[in-house]
Amino acid sequence: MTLAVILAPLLALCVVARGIGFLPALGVVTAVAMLVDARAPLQEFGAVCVVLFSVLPVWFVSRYQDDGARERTGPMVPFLALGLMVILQLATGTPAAMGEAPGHAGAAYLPAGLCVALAGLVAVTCRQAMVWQWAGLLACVDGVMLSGVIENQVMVVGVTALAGCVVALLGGMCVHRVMLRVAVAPAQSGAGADRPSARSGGFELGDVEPTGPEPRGLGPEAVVAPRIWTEAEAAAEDEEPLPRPDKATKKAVPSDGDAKADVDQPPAETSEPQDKRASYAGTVASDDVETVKQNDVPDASNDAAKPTETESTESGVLKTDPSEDALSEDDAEDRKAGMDPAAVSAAEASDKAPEHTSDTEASSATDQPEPFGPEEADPVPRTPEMIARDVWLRGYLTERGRDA
Amino acid sequence: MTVPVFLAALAFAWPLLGAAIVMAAPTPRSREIAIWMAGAGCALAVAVFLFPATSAAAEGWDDDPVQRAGRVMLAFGLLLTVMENGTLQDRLLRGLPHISTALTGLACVAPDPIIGLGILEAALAYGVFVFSRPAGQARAGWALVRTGSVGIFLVLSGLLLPSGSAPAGLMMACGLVMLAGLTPFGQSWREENDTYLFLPFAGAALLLSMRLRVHGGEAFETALVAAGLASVWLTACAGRSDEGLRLFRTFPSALALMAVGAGADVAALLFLCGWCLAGGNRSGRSWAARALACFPPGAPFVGCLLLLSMLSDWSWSVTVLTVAGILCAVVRSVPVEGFTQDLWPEDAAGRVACSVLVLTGFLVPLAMMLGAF
Repeated sequence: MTLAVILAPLLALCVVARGIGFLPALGVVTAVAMLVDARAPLQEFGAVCVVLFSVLPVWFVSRYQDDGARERTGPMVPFLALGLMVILQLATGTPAAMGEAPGHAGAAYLPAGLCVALAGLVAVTCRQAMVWQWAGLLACVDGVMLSGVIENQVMVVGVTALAGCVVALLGGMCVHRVMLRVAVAPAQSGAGADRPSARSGGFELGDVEPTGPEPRGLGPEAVVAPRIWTEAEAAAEDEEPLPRPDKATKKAVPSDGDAKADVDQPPAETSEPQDKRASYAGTVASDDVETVKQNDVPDASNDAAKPTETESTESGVLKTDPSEDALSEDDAEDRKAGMDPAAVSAAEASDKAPEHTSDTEASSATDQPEPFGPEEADPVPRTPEMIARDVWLRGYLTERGRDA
Repeated sequence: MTVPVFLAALAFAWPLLGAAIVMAAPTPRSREIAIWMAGAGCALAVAVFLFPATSAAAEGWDDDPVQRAGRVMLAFGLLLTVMENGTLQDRLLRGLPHISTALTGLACVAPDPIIGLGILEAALAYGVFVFSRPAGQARAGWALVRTGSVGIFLVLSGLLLPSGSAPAGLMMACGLVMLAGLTPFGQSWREENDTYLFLPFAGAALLLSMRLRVHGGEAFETALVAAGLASVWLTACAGRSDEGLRLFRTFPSALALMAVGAGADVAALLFLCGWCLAGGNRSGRSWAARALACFPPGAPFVGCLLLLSMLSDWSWSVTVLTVAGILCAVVRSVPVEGFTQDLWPEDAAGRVACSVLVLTGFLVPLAMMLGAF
């Protein structure tokens, strides 16, 4: 028994208690625990799988915004996991229980892998946030893989690797569909430049509103979002009306428990000046909708103006349009090519900005609404990229509406 | 290669072939082709049951007659699913019942139950991928992945513990109950999912649980009987509300898990027949409700008799509780409207299902007496 074997259940408890942030550490420790005993191909395969399944999802999640902690589970959940671990240890780890089992005769033994798996199962079952559940399932993968490697069960390791692939891929798909990307640039509104809250778009805990997760009563600001919806729809009269998600209607229901998590964002919106809202209404309708949705997320309103480093290094194109963030890379390129000349010139002008820091972007984006204004005034034929964006947006809004 | 081995291999590959053809076929003709392919799959499964590949057993492939008969039930479940559906526009959705039936059949026959679990996970992943493609379904798909993966990880954890120990048995039983979708324990299955993915998936979980009994030991059997009994009584208590109808849909799988726990494999097979042909979202129709409620004639009725005869050897108190629970559930939970009408259903799918249910109810005890099981 090594230190890593003992550390792994502790880190799994940290995953249960604090979230997905501890998952890479758990993966590394689990991999070390596999590799210290022997260096056979089975151990190496297990270690590589564990590290991959623990590091890649966390990196993937870090590219998305926190969807607002809707966690209503109490602080007792880690203790439940701890209690289950103790019960498992008492049932299997004692020499009496393992006396007849081959390989463990007489020796005290910590079923570390199964403890990690139990902690993961507790996280999956008791936590409500999707990312947290995903972390729990990945912790399960780590634990079962560690246990399979220690017990030298090739089949279990293979099946766990397959299950880990499934969980990682489908969970990643779900994250991609229900969460917003980081790197928001609501810079098409010039008012955003002088906003004090136009700060870096990082994904930091300190940026979350302090009053975020707590359910609060419905203040007068809570009806702002429906009003913006109305403006957006008024601007979108010539366009095909987008389905209005249930979220906006839910905001008007103060007693709904689910709505409270959604309600706590509007102070960020009320802090925005009125002219910004007016400039929203002047832009393309779907952009409006997207902006409203972006503002619904607590991080988006605060850390809006600057794209994250991953985003800017990946694309190299300044994202002037929030909906472009959500589009894939090549989509954004295609769309830039398909835009009308005014928009293209605007995009080129903004491309001239060498550094995509918040200041330069905000200053160069001050004249962004004008290129979109004429586009709205005389409707140009919709390019396939715009149609694709609308279709995506409609699906996205439906997703958000249902999940709210 | 002998003919039985070839037949067995063809029976596993056939639904995959059917899925490929159905997905490639033009939409107006797809339903007809799907019915033909599923019907041929049923014939193949029956042929494999009648002419087992004896040489395969030496190589570790499972050759239990109950398992073979269970795969026949899965094939008939596919046929019924295809017959009930109209013409589906979505190609992936069209091929999903074939693929999930193929994968779950393969999972049942894999030489090691652990490999079977892996194949089940693959089937779940494909089904969830197909289900969650439309907008707004991401969370529902995630719930399916979550429930299924938790069940599989629980069973794997149990398999890693020493054989026959109480924690191993409990973990495996919990995992199998979740995989079988017993209603209060695995709730995320919904109406639109279950005939495509859930029916073969839960059937395969039931068949796998028979093979895992060797590893689970006494705690495993006790936990399965307890979970089944709890589900039966919850069904009885829930009544005819919506929740009660949800519980009633998994009534045969609760009884089947009890049968697996009590060691009555043939009874579990008969309940599996009831589950595949009348379970899931078919439980609203009168013929299906009668079959699920263990009314004669039908496979679940015979299975009920077999289960009670085996349970009485196991424990008298549990037998009395089971009888009372089944009676309460029949009295309180069976949908009343139209229950006595429609003795011979109007549609072709219902007729096929009724015929197969009655035939299985007669033939399986006969085969048992002749020593086939």
